[in-house]
Amino acid sequence: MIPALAPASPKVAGHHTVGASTGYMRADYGDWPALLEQAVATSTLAVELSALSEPELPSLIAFLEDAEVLPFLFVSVHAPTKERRIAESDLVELLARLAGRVDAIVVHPDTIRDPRAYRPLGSALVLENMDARKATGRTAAELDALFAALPAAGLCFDVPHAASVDPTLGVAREILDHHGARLRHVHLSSLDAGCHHRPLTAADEERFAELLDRCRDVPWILEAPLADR
Amino acid sequence: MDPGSTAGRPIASPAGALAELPGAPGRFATLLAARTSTATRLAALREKVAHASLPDRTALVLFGSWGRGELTGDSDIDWALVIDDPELGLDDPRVVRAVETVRMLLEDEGAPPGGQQMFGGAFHAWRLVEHIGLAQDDSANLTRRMLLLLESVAVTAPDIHEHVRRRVLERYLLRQSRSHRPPRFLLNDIIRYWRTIAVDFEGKVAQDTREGAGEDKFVMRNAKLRTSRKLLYVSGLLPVLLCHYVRASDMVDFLDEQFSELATDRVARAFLHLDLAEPGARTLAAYEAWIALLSDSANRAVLESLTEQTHDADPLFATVRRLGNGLDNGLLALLHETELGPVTRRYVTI
Repeated sequence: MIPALAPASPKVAGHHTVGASTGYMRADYGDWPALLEQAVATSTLAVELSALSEPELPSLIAFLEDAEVLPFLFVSVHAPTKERRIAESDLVELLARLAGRVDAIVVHPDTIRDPRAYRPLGSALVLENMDARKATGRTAAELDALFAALPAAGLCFDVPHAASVDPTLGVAREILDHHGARLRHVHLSSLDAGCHHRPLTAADEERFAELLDRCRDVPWILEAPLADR
Repeated sequence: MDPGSTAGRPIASPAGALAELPGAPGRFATLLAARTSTATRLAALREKVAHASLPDRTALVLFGSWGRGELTGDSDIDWALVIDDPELGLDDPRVVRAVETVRMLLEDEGAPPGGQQMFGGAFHAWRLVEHIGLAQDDSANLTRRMLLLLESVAVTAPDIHEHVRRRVLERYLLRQSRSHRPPRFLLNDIIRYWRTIAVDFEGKVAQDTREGAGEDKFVMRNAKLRTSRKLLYVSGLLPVLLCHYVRASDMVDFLDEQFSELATDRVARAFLHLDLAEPGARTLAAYEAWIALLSDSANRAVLESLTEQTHDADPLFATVRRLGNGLDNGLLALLHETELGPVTRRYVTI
Protein backbone atom coordinates (compact mmCIF):
# COMPACT_ATOMS: atom_id res chain seq x y z
CA MET A 1 0.00 0.00 0.00
CA ILE A 2 1.36 3.41 -1.00
CA PRO A 3 0.16 5.72 1.83
CA ALA A 4 0.31 8.90 -0.26
CA LEU A 5 -2.07 7.40 -2.82
CA ALA A 6 -4.48 5.60 -0.51
CA PRO A 7 -6.95 8.48 0.05
CA ALA A 8 -7.36 8.85 -3.71
CA SER A 9 -7.55 5.22 -4.71
CA PRO A 10 -7.04 2.25 -2.40
CA LYS A 11 -7.01 0.00 -5.47
CA VAL A 12 -4.16 1.81 -7.18
CA ALA A 13 -2.35 2.33 -3.88
CA GLY A 14 -2.62 -1.41 -3.21
CA HIS A 15 -0.81 -2.45 -6.39
CA HIS A 16 2.61 -3.86 -5.58
CA THR A 17 4.62 -1.34 -7.61
CA VAL A 18 3.22 2.12 -8.30
CA GLY A 19 5.12 5.34 -8.89
CA ALA A 20 4.95 8.82 -10.33
CA SER A 21 6.13 10.22 -13.62
CA THR A 22 8.11 13.43 -13.21
CA GLY A 23 6.43 14.51 -16.46
CA TYR A 24 3.57 16.11 -14.55
CA MET A 25 5.82 18.04 -12.15
CA ARG A 26 6.18 20.98 -14.51
CA ALA A 27 7.30 23.60 -11.98
CA ASP A 28 10.60 21.82 -11.47
CA TYR A 29 11.44 20.72 -15.03
CA GLY A 30 15.18 20.21 -15.35
CA ASP A 31 15.82 20.28 -11.59
CA TRP A 32 16.33 16.53 -11.16
CA PRO A 33 17.01 16.50 -7.39
CA ALA A 34 13.79 18.46 -6.82
CA LEU A 35 11.83 16.19 -9.16
CA LEU A 36 13.23 13.14 -7.41
CA GLU A 37 12.14 14.52 -4.06
CA GLN A 38 8.59 14.96 -5.34
CA ALA A 39 8.55 11.49 -6.85
CA VAL A 40 9.76 9.99 -3.55
CA ALA A 41 6.92 11.77 -1.75
CA THR A 42 4.50 9.88 -3.98
CA SER A 43 6.18 6.49 -3.91
CA THR A 44 9.62 5.10 -3.19
CA LEU A 45 8.89 1.97 -5.23
CA ALA A 46 8.84 3.25 -8.81
CA VAL A 47 9.49 6.35 -10.85
CA GLU A 48 9.54 7.51 -14.43
CA LEU A 49 12.08 10.24 -15.05
CA SER A 50 10.71 12.17 -17.93
CA ALA A 51 12.92 14.09 -20.36
CA LEU A 52 10.12 14.98 -22.72
CA SER A 53 12.06 17.87 -24.25
CA GLU A 54 15.36 16.94 -25.81
CA PRO A 55 17.35 19.68 -23.99
CA GLU A 56 16.44 17.98 -20.70
CA LEU A 57 18.11 14.70 -21.62
CA PRO A 58 21.81 15.56 -21.12
CA SER A 59 21.18 16.82 -17.59
CA LEU A 60 19.14 13.69 -16.79
CA ILE A 61 21.95 11.45 -18.03
CA ALA A 62 24.51 13.40 -16.02
CA PHE A 63 22.24 13.20 -12.97
CA LEU A 64 21.79 9.43 -13.28
CA GLU A 65 25.47 8.81 -13.95
CA ASP A 66 26.46 10.77 -10.85
CA ALA A 67 23.58 9.74 -8.60
CA GLU A 68 23.98 7.34 -5.76
CA VAL A 69 21.75 4.32 -6.20
CA LEU A 70 18.16 5.59 -6.30
CA PRO A 71 15.69 4.26 -3.73
CA PHE A 72 13.21 3.03 -6.35
CA LEU A 73 12.85 -0.64 -7.28
CA PHE A 74 11.76 0.35 -10.79
CA VAL A 75 13.18 3.27 -12.74
CA SER A 76 12.13 4.15 -16.26
CA VAL A 77 13.23 7.08 -18.39
CA HIS A 78 10.93 8.73 -20.90
CA ALA A 79 12.86 9.64 -24.04
CA PRO A 80 12.34 13.07 -25.66
CA THR A 81 9.32 13.66 -27.82
CA LYS A 82 9.60 17.44 -28.18
CA GLU A 83 12.23 19.92 -29.35
CA ARG A 84 14.01 17.14 -31.23
CA ARG A 85 17.14 18.47 -32.90
CA ILE A 86 19.96 15.94 -32.80
CA ALA A 87 20.23 13.04 -35.22
CA GLU A 88 18.37 9.88 -34.29
CA SER A 89 21.60 7.88 -34.00
CA ASP A 90 23.04 10.48 -31.62
CA LEU A 91 19.89 10.35 -29.52
CA VAL A 92 20.10 6.56 -29.30
CA GLU A 93 23.77 6.83 -28.35
CA LEU A 94 22.80 9.13 -25.48
CA LEU A 95 19.96 6.85 -24.37
CA ALA A 96 22.23 3.80 -24.56
CA ARG A 97 24.30 5.29 -21.73
CA LEU A 98 21.25 4.68 -19.54
CA ALA A 99 20.39 1.18 -20.77
CA GLY A 100 22.35 -0.58 -18.04
CA ARG A 101 21.21 1.80 -15.31
CA VAL A 102 17.43 1.84 -15.66
CA ASP A 103 14.69 -0.75 -16.10
CA ALA A 104 13.09 0.79 -19.16
CA ILE A 105 13.53 3.57 -21.71
CA VAL A 106 10.16 4.69 -23.08
CA VAL A 107 10.07 5.82 -26.70
CA HIS A 108 7.06 7.12 -28.63
CA PRO A 109 6.57 5.28 -31.94
CA ASP A 110 5.70 8.51 -33.78
CA THR A 111 9.18 9.89 -32.98
CA ILE A 112 10.94 6.92 -34.57
CA ARG A 113 12.23 7.31 -38.12
CA ASP A 114 14.47 4.28 -38.44
CA PRO A 115 13.45 1.56 -35.98
CA ARG A 116 16.73 -0.34 -36.45
CA ALA A 117 18.61 2.64 -35.03
CA TYR A 118 17.12 1.77 -31.62
CA ARG A 119 18.45 -1.78 -31.50
CA PRO A 120 21.44 -0.83 -29.31
CA LEU A 121 18.95 -0.21 -26.49
CA GLY A 122 18.12 -3.94 -26.48
CA SER A 123 15.57 -5.04 -23.90
CA ALA A 124 15.79 -1.68 -22.09
CA LEU A 125 13.71 -0.16 -24.91
CA VAL A 126 9.93 -0.07 -24.45
CA LEU A 127 7.50 1.36 -26.99
CA GLU A 128 4.43 3.22 -25.80
CA ASN A 129 1.10 2.99 -27.61
CA MET A 130 -0.06 6.40 -28.79
CA ASP A 131 -3.20 8.46 -28.28
CA ALA A 132 -5.86 9.35 -30.86
CA ARG A 133 -4.10 12.57 -31.95
CA LYS A 134 -1.07 10.73 -33.30
CA ALA A 135 -0.68 9.33 -36.78
CA THR A 136 0.82 5.99 -35.81
CA GLY A 137 1.62 3.62 -32.93
CA ARG A 138 -2.00 3.70 -31.76
CA THR A 139 -3.18 0.16 -32.35
CA ALA A 140 -1.85 -3.38 -32.22
CA ALA A 141 -1.53 -3.41 -36.00
CA GLU A 142 0.35 -0.11 -36.06
CA LEU A 143 2.80 -1.42 -33.49
CA ASP A 144 3.41 -4.66 -35.41
CA ALA A 145 6.09 -3.36 -37.78
CA LEU A 146 8.01 -1.64 -34.99
CA PHE A 147 8.10 -4.73 -32.82
CA ALA A 148 9.11 -6.81 -35.82
CA ALA A 149 12.09 -4.51 -36.34
CA LEU A 150 12.86 -4.38 -32.61
CA PRO A 151 12.36 -7.94 -31.33
CA ALA A 152 13.90 -7.27 -27.92
CA ALA A 153 11.72 -4.23 -27.22
CA GLY A 154 9.01 -4.25 -24.58
CA LEU A 155 5.61 -2.57 -24.38
CA CYS A 156 4.67 0.36 -22.17
CA PHE A 157 0.88 0.11 -22.17
CA ASP A 158 -0.68 3.55 -21.86
CA VAL A 159 -4.24 2.73 -20.83
CA PRO A 160 -5.89 6.13 -21.47
CA HIS A 161 -4.08 6.48 -24.80
CA ALA A 162 -5.67 3.23 -25.99
CA ALA A 163 -9.04 4.33 -24.58
CA SER A 164 -8.80 7.62 -26.49
CA VAL A 165 -8.45 5.70 -29.76
CA ASP A 166 -11.41 3.48 -28.98
CA PRO A 167 -13.63 4.32 -26.00
CA THR A 168 -15.11 0.80 -26.13
CA LEU A 169 -11.61 -0.40 -25.14
CA GLY A 170 -11.50 -2.82 -28.05
CA VAL A 171 -8.18 -1.36 -29.22
CA ALA A 172 -6.79 -1.61 -25.71
CA ARG A 173 -7.76 -5.29 -25.49
CA GLU A 174 -6.21 -5.95 -28.89
CA ILE A 175 -2.94 -4.35 -27.88
CA LEU A 176 -2.77 -6.65 -24.85
CA ASP A 177 -3.92 -9.65 -26.90
CA HIS A 178 -1.25 -9.13 -29.57
CA HIS A 179 1.64 -7.55 -27.71
CA GLY A 180 0.90 -8.40 -24.06
CA ALA A 181 3.82 -10.82 -23.96
CA ARG A 182 6.08 -7.76 -24.22
CA LEU A 183 4.36 -5.79 -21.44
CA ARG A 184 6.85 -4.19 -19.06
CA HIS A 185 4.92 -1.35 -17.44
CA VAL A 186 1.72 0.66 -17.52
CA HIS A 187 0.98 4.36 -17.83
CA LEU A 188 -2.12 5.30 -15.90
CA SER A 189 -4.22 8.49 -15.79
CA SER A 190 -7.33 9.95 -17.34
CA LEU A 191 -7.20 12.26 -20.38
CA ASP A 192 -8.95 15.53 -21.14
CA ALA A 193 -10.55 16.31 -24.50
CA GLY A 194 -7.17 17.36 -25.89
CA CYS A 195 -5.59 14.06 -24.78
CA HIS A 196 -3.63 15.70 -21.97
CA HIS A 197 -3.03 13.59 -18.89
CA ARG A 198 -5.35 14.36 -15.99
CA PRO A 199 -5.80 12.70 -12.58
CA LEU A 200 -7.38 9.26 -12.85
CA THR A 201 -11.10 9.61 -12.24
CA ALA A 202 -13.14 7.08 -10.31
CA ALA A 203 -15.15 6.37 -13.46
CA ASP A 204 -12.02 5.66 -15.51
CA GLU A 205 -10.57 3.54 -12.75
CA GLU A 206 -13.66 1.37 -12.93
CA ARG A 207 -13.67 1.38 -16.74
CA PHE A 208 -9.99 0.39 -16.90
CA ALA A 209 -10.25 -2.30 -14.20
CA GLU A 210 -10.50 -5.24 -16.64
CA LEU A 211 -7.34 -4.01 -18.41
CA LEU A 212 -5.43 -3.36 -15.21
CA ASP A 213 -6.30 -6.86 -14.01
CA ARG A 214 -4.38 -8.16 -17.02
CA CYS A 215 -1.39 -6.02 -16.04
CA ARG A 216 -1.02 -6.94 -12.36
CA ASP A 217 2.53 -8.20 -12.79
CA VAL A 218 4.10 -4.93 -13.92
CA PRO A 219 4.71 -1.48 -12.38
CA TRP A 220 2.07 1.19 -12.86
CA ILE A 221 3.30 4.73 -13.48
CA LEU A 222 0.94 7.62 -12.80
CA GLU A 223 1.16 10.28 -15.50
CA ALA A 224 -0.91 12.70 -13.45
CA PRO A 225 -1.17 13.00 -9.67
CA LEU A 226 -3.98 11.07 -8.05
CA ALA A 227 -6.43 13.61 -6.68
CA ASP A 228 -8.23 12.83 -3.43
CA ARG A 229 -11.80 11.86 -4.27
CA MET B 1 -11.54 -15.15 2.31
CA ASP B 2 -14.08 -17.86 1.78
CA PRO B 3 -12.56 -21.21 0.82
CA GLY B 4 -15.76 -21.82 -1.11
CA SER B 5 -15.04 -18.84 -3.37
CA THR B 6 -14.12 -18.99 -7.06
CA ALA B 7 -10.56 -19.95 -6.31
CA GLY B 8 -11.88 -22.44 -3.76
CA ARG B 9 -12.72 -24.93 -6.52
CA PRO B 10 -10.59 -28.11 -6.49
CA ILE B 11 -6.95 -27.42 -7.30
CA ALA B 12 -5.75 -29.51 -10.23
CA SER B 13 -2.45 -31.34 -10.05
CA PRO B 14 0.47 -29.10 -11.01
CA ALA B 15 1.60 -31.69 -13.59
CA GLY B 16 1.93 -30.03 -17.00
CA ALA B 17 0.65 -26.62 -15.83
CA LEU B 18 3.47 -24.69 -17.52
CA ALA B 19 2.29 -25.98 -20.89
CA GLU B 20 -1.25 -24.72 -20.13
CA LEU B 21 -0.19 -21.06 -19.86
CA PRO B 22 -0.97 -18.68 -22.74
CA GLY B 23 1.66 -18.85 -25.48
CA ALA B 24 2.83 -22.36 -24.58
CA PRO B 25 4.60 -24.35 -25.79
CA GLY B 26 6.57 -21.85 -27.92
CA ARG B 27 6.90 -19.27 -25.18
CA PHE B 28 8.51 -21.82 -22.87
CA ALA B 29 10.56 -23.67 -25.46
CA THR B 30 13.79 -23.62 -23.45
CA LEU B 31 12.17 -24.80 -20.22
CA LEU B 32 10.22 -27.55 -21.97
CA ALA B 33 13.29 -28.66 -23.92
CA ALA B 34 15.30 -28.71 -20.68
CA ARG B 35 12.66 -30.99 -19.15
CA THR B 36 12.95 -33.39 -22.06
CA SER B 37 16.72 -33.31 -21.94
CA THR B 38 16.70 -33.86 -18.16
CA ALA B 39 14.35 -36.84 -18.56
CA THR B 40 16.56 -38.34 -21.28
CA ARG B 41 19.72 -37.94 -19.25
CA LEU B 42 17.97 -39.27 -16.16
CA ALA B 43 16.89 -42.38 -18.05
CA ALA B 44 20.47 -42.90 -19.23
CA LEU B 45 21.74 -42.39 -15.70
CA ARG B 46 19.28 -44.94 -14.35
CA GLU B 47 20.65 -47.49 -16.80
CA LYS B 48 24.19 -46.59 -15.84
CA VAL B 49 23.61 -47.18 -12.13
CA ALA B 50 21.22 -50.11 -12.58
CA HIS B 51 23.95 -52.63 -11.95
CA ALA B 52 25.63 -50.75 -9.13
CA SER B 53 25.24 -52.59 -5.89
CA LEU B 54 23.57 -50.08 -3.59
CA PRO B 55 22.51 -51.20 -0.11
CA ASP B 56 18.84 -52.03 0.53
CA ARG B 57 16.65 -49.19 1.81
CA THR B 58 18.74 -46.52 0.13
CA ALA B 59 17.88 -44.25 -2.78
CA LEU B 60 20.19 -42.32 -5.04
CA VAL B 61 18.62 -38.87 -5.30
CA LEU B 62 19.53 -35.84 -7.43
CA PHE B 63 18.88 -32.25 -6.42
CA GLY B 64 19.25 -28.80 -8.06
CA SER B 65 18.64 -28.41 -11.79
CA TRP B 66 18.17 -32.19 -12.18
CA GLY B 67 15.36 -32.03 -9.63
CA ARG B 68 13.84 -28.95 -11.29
CA GLY B 69 14.01 -30.54 -14.76
CA GLU B 70 16.15 -27.62 -15.91
CA LEU B 71 19.40 -29.21 -17.00
CA THR B 72 21.60 -27.00 -19.12
CA GLY B 73 25.00 -27.86 -20.60
CA ASP B 74 27.00 -26.67 -17.61
CA SER B 75 24.80 -27.93 -14.78
CA ASP B 76 26.34 -29.33 -11.61
CA ILE B 77 25.26 -32.71 -10.34
CA ASP B 78 24.21 -32.55 -6.70
CA TRP B 79 23.53 -36.09 -5.54
CA ALA B 80 23.08 -37.98 -2.31
CA LEU B 81 22.56 -41.54 -1.19
CA VAL B 82 19.53 -41.24 1.08
CA ILE B 83 19.50 -43.98 3.71
CA ASP B 84 16.11 -44.99 5.02
CA ASP B 85 17.51 -47.55 7.48
CA PRO B 86 18.50 -46.09 10.86
CA GLU B 87 20.60 -49.21 11.58
CA LEU B 88 22.79 -48.69 8.54
CA GLY B 89 25.66 -46.41 9.62
CA LEU B 90 27.33 -43.87 7.40
CA ASP B 91 30.63 -45.66 8.06
CA ASP B 92 29.22 -49.07 7.19
CA PRO B 93 31.50 -50.57 4.50
CA ARG B 94 28.46 -51.12 2.24
CA VAL B 95 27.63 -47.42 2.40
CA VAL B 96 31.25 -46.31 1.96
CA ARG B 97 31.56 -48.59 -1.10
CA ALA B 98 28.25 -47.38 -2.52
CA VAL B 99 29.23 -43.72 -2.17
CA GLU B 100 32.54 -44.39 -3.90
CA THR B 101 30.79 -46.29 -6.70
CA VAL B 102 28.24 -43.51 -7.24
CA ARG B 103 30.95 -40.87 -7.22
CA MET B 104 32.79 -42.72 -9.99
CA LEU B 105 29.64 -43.35 -12.00
CA LEU B 106 28.56 -39.70 -11.87
CA GLU B 107 31.99 -38.28 -12.60
CA ASP B 108 31.15 -37.49 -16.23
CA GLU B 109 27.63 -36.22 -15.61
CA GLY B 110 28.42 -32.70 -14.45
CA ALA B 111 30.52 -30.68 -12.04
CA PRO B 112 30.61 -32.36 -8.61
CA PRO B 113 28.73 -30.87 -5.65
CA GLY B 114 30.15 -27.67 -4.13
CA GLY B 115 32.39 -27.44 -1.11
CA GLN B 116 29.81 -27.32 1.68
CA GLN B 117 29.52 -31.11 2.00
CA MET B 118 25.75 -31.09 1.82
CA PHE B 119 25.68 -33.43 -1.16
CA GLY B 120 28.04 -35.89 -2.82
CA GLY B 121 27.73 -38.44 -0.02
CA ALA B 122 25.22 -40.28 2.12
CA PHE B 123 22.82 -39.07 4.79
CA HIS B 124 20.06 -40.57 6.91
CA ALA B 125 16.44 -39.83 6.12
CA TRP B 126 15.49 -40.02 9.80
CA ARG B 127 17.58 -36.94 10.55
CA LEU B 128 15.47 -34.93 8.09
CA VAL B 129 12.31 -36.05 9.86
CA GLU B 130 13.38 -36.06 13.49
CA HIS B 131 15.69 -33.04 13.58
CA ILE B 132 13.55 -30.12 12.57
CA GLY B 133 14.60 -27.03 14.50
CA LEU B 134 17.14 -26.62 17.30
CA ALA B 135 20.89 -27.06 17.04
CA GLN B 136 20.88 -30.48 15.41
CA ASP B 137 18.98 -29.08 12.46
CA ASP B 138 22.12 -27.56 11.03
CA SER B 139 22.41 -25.81 7.69
CA ALA B 140 23.13 -29.09 5.85
CA ASN B 141 20.11 -30.84 7.37
CA LEU B 142 17.80 -27.92 6.61
CA THR B 143 19.09 -27.64 3.04
CA ARG B 144 18.76 -31.38 2.39
CA ARG B 145 15.22 -31.49 3.78
CA MET B 146 14.07 -28.43 1.85
CA LEU B 147 15.64 -29.49 -1.42
CA LEU B 148 14.20 -32.99 -1.01
CA LEU B 149 10.78 -31.33 -0.90
CA LEU B 150 11.34 -28.60 -3.45
CA GLU B 151 13.69 -29.95 -6.12
CA SER B 152 14.68 -33.61 -6.03
CA VAL B 153 14.33 -36.65 -8.22
CA ALA B 154 15.17 -40.30 -7.59
CA VAL B 155 17.65 -42.14 -9.78
CA THR B 156 17.08 -45.39 -7.92
CA ALA B 157 14.38 -46.55 -5.53
CA PRO B 158 11.71 -43.91 -6.29
CA ASP B 159 9.47 -45.58 -3.72
CA ILE B 160 11.96 -44.77 -0.95
CA HIS B 161 12.33 -41.20 -2.20
CA GLU B 162 8.54 -40.74 -2.18
CA HIS B 163 8.23 -42.41 1.21
CA VAL B 164 10.82 -40.07 2.76
CA ARG B 165 9.16 -36.99 1.26
CA ARG B 166 5.82 -38.14 2.64
CA ARG B 167 7.28 -38.74 6.11
CA VAL B 168 8.79 -35.26 6.14
CA LEU B 169 5.39 -33.76 5.26
CA GLU B 170 3.62 -35.89 7.87
CA ARG B 171 6.08 -34.70 10.50
CA TYR B 172 5.28 -31.07 9.71
CA LEU B 173 1.57 -31.74 9.96
CA LEU B 174 1.69 -34.09 12.96
CA ARG B 175 0.57 -31.55 15.53
CA GLN B 176 -0.87 -28.87 13.28
CA SER B 177 -3.38 -29.82 10.71
CA ARG B 178 -6.60 -27.90 10.63
CA SER B 179 -8.92 -27.53 7.70
CA HIS B 180 -8.29 -24.40 5.63
CA ARG B 181 -5.31 -23.34 7.73
CA PRO B 182 -1.93 -23.25 6.00
CA PRO B 183 0.38 -25.35 8.20
CA ARG B 184 2.61 -22.85 9.95
CA PHE B 185 5.36 -25.29 10.94
CA LEU B 186 6.08 -26.14 7.31
CA LEU B 187 5.49 -22.54 6.21
CA ASN B 188 7.98 -21.22 8.75
CA ASP B 189 10.62 -23.75 7.71
CA ILE B 190 10.29 -22.83 4.02
CA ILE B 191 10.54 -19.15 4.89
CA ARG B 192 13.50 -19.92 7.17
CA TYR B 193 15.27 -21.75 4.35
CA TRP B 194 14.84 -18.85 1.91
CA ARG B 195 16.00 -16.31 4.49
CA THR B 196 18.96 -18.55 5.33
CA ILE B 197 20.05 -18.64 1.69
CA ALA B 198 19.75 -14.85 1.47
CA VAL B 199 21.70 -14.31 4.70
CA ASP B 200 24.32 -16.88 3.72
CA PHE B 201 24.83 -14.98 0.46
CA GLU B 202 26.17 -12.05 2.46
CA GLY B 203 28.15 -14.44 4.66
CA LYS B 204 29.81 -15.95 1.59
CA VAL B 205 30.69 -12.48 0.26
CA ALA B 206 32.37 -11.61 3.55
CA GLN B 207 34.11 -14.99 3.70
CA ASP B 208 35.43 -14.70 0.13
CA THR B 209 36.72 -11.20 0.92
CA ARG B 210 38.48 -12.39 4.09
CA GLU B 211 40.01 -15.38 2.39
CA GLY B 212 40.88 -13.50 -0.81
CA ALA B 213 39.09 -16.10 -2.95
CA GLY B 214 40.55 -16.12 -6.45
CA GLU B 215 37.20 -16.81 -8.07
CA ASP B 216 34.56 -14.14 -7.63
CA LYS B 217 31.20 -15.92 -7.37
CA PHE B 218 29.28 -12.84 -6.23
CA VAL B 219 27.54 -12.15 -9.54
CA MET B 220 26.42 -15.70 -10.33
CA ARG B 221 25.15 -16.18 -6.78
CA ASN B 222 23.38 -12.84 -6.94
CA ALA B 223 21.81 -13.70 -10.31
CA LYS B 224 20.59 -17.07 -9.03
CA LEU B 225 19.09 -15.48 -5.92
CA ARG B 226 17.11 -13.10 -8.14
CA THR B 227 15.85 -15.94 -10.34
CA SER B 228 16.13 -19.69 -9.68
CA ARG B 229 16.34 -19.48 -5.88
CA LYS B 230 13.44 -17.03 -5.65
CA LEU B 231 11.22 -19.10 -7.93
CA LEU B 232 12.03 -22.20 -5.91
CA TYR B 233 11.13 -20.44 -2.66
CA VAL B 234 7.76 -19.28 -3.96
CA SER B 235 7.15 -22.74 -5.45
CA GLY B 236 7.36 -23.98 -1.85
CA LEU B 237 5.35 -21.16 -0.36
CA LEU B 238 2.39 -21.53 -2.74
CA PRO B 239 1.34 -25.12 -1.95
CA VAL B 240 1.38 -24.28 1.75
CA LEU B 241 -0.73 -21.14 1.28
CA LEU B 242 -3.08 -23.02 -1.04
CA CYS B 243 -3.86 -25.28 1.93
CA HIS B 244 -6.30 -22.51 2.72
CA TYR B 245 -8.59 -24.33 0.29
CA VAL B 246 -7.89 -27.81 1.63
CA ARG B 247 -9.49 -29.89 4.40
CA ALA B 248 -7.21 -31.27 7.12
CA SER B 249 -7.90 -34.85 6.08
CA ASP B 250 -6.64 -34.12 2.55
CA MET B 251 -3.70 -31.90 3.42
CA VAL B 252 -0.83 -34.42 3.36
CA ASP B 253 -2.07 -35.87 0.08
CA PHE B 254 -2.45 -32.39 -1.38
CA LEU B 255 1.05 -31.30 -0.37
CA ASP B 256 2.54 -34.61 -1.47
CA GLU B 257 0.99 -34.22 -4.92
CA GLN B 258 2.20 -30.64 -5.18
CA PHE B 259 5.78 -31.41 -4.12
CA SER B 260 6.00 -34.42 -6.42
CA GLU B 261 5.80 -32.06 -9.42
CA LEU B 262 8.28 -29.56 -10.85
CA ALA B 263 8.71 -26.12 -9.27
CA THR B 264 7.75 -24.29 -12.48
CA ASP B 265 4.57 -26.38 -12.75
CA ARG B 266 3.65 -25.62 -9.12
CA VAL B 267 3.96 -21.90 -9.78
CA ALA B 268 2.16 -22.11 -13.13
CA ARG B 269 -0.71 -24.06 -11.54
CA ALA B 270 -1.15 -21.37 -8.87
CA PHE B 271 -1.31 -18.61 -11.50
CA LEU B 272 -3.90 -20.61 -13.46
CA HIS B 273 -5.93 -21.52 -10.41
CA LEU B 274 -6.06 -17.93 -9.20
CA ASP B 275 -7.16 -16.61 -12.63
CA LEU B 276 -3.94 -14.78 -13.38
CA ALA B 277 -2.96 -16.72 -16.49
CA GLU B 278 -1.72 -13.79 -18.58
CA PRO B 279 0.52 -12.23 -15.91
CA GLY B 280 1.56 -15.79 -15.01
CA ALA B 281 2.72 -16.46 -18.55
CA ARG B 282 4.80 -13.26 -18.53
CA THR B 283 6.27 -14.14 -15.15
CA LEU B 284 7.33 -17.59 -16.23
CA ALA B 285 8.51 -16.19 -19.57
CA ALA B 286 10.96 -14.07 -17.58
CA TYR B 287 12.18 -17.26 -15.93
CA GLU B 288 12.34 -18.97 -19.34
CA ALA B 289 14.53 -16.10 -20.58
CA TRP B 290 16.84 -16.56 -17.59
CA ILE B 291 17.23 -20.29 -18.27
CA ALA B 292 17.83 -19.56 -21.99
CA LEU B 293 20.44 -16.98 -21.05
CA LEU B 294 22.15 -19.42 -18.71
CA SER B 295 22.10 -22.19 -21.31
CA ASP B 296 24.42 -20.14 -23.47
CA SER B 297 27.97 -20.83 -22.30
CA ALA B 298 29.14 -17.43 -23.60
CA ASN B 299 26.62 -15.67 -21.34
CA ARG B 300 27.61 -17.84 -18.42
CA ALA B 301 31.27 -16.95 -19.03
CA VAL B 302 30.43 -13.24 -19.02
CA LEU B 303 28.50 -13.51 -15.75
CA GLU B 304 31.33 -15.53 -14.20
CA SER B 305 33.84 -12.90 -15.28
CA LEU B 306 31.96 -10.04 -13.60
CA THR B 307 32.73 -8.89 -10.08
CA GLU B 308 30.83 -7.04 -7.39
CA GLN B 309 32.54 -3.87 -8.63
CA THR B 310 31.92 -4.34 -12.35
CA HIS B 311 28.51 -6.03 -12.57
CA ASP B 312 26.31 -2.97 -12.10
CA ALA B 313 27.23 -1.35 -15.41
CA ASP B 314 27.24 -4.57 -17.43
CA PRO B 315 24.45 -4.87 -20.04
CA LEU B 316 24.07 -8.63 -19.58
CA PHE B 317 23.67 -8.20 -15.84
CA ALA B 318 21.16 -5.41 -16.52
CA THR B 319 19.15 -7.97 -18.48
CA VAL B 320 19.39 -10.44 -15.58
CA ARG B 321 18.23 -7.70 -13.20
CA ARG B 322 15.31 -6.92 -15.52
CA LEU B 323 14.30 -10.59 -15.70
CA GLY B 324 14.61 -10.90 -11.92
CA ASN B 325 12.37 -7.86 -11.46
CA GLY B 326 9.84 -9.32 -13.89
CA LEU B 327 9.79 -12.52 -11.88
CA ASP B 328 9.53 -10.58 -8.63
CA ASN B 329 6.60 -8.45 -9.78
CA GLY B 330 4.66 -11.40 -11.15
CA LEU B 331 5.11 -13.42 -7.98
CA LEU B 332 4.10 -10.41 -5.87
CA ALA B 333 0.94 -10.02 -7.93
CA LEU B 334 0.14 -13.69 -7.45
CA LEU B 335 0.72 -13.61 -3.70
CA HIS B 336 -0.89 -10.25 -2.98
CA GLU B 337 -3.32 -9.27 -5.72
CA THR B 338 -5.40 -12.42 -6.06
CA GLU B 339 -7.72 -14.20 -3.67
CA LEU B 340 -4.57 -15.47 -2.00
CA GLY B 341 -3.70 -11.91 -0.88
CA PRO B 342 -5.40 -12.01 2.53
CA VAL B 343 -3.88 -15.45 3.24
CA THR B 344 -0.40 -14.19 2.34
CA ARG B 345 -0.90 -11.15 4.55
CA ARG B 346 -2.24 -13.19 7.44
CA TYR B 347 0.23 -16.08 7.39
CA VAL B 348 3.47 -14.85 5.83
CA THR B 349 3.89 -11.43 7.37
CA ILE B 350 3.98 -12.44 11.04
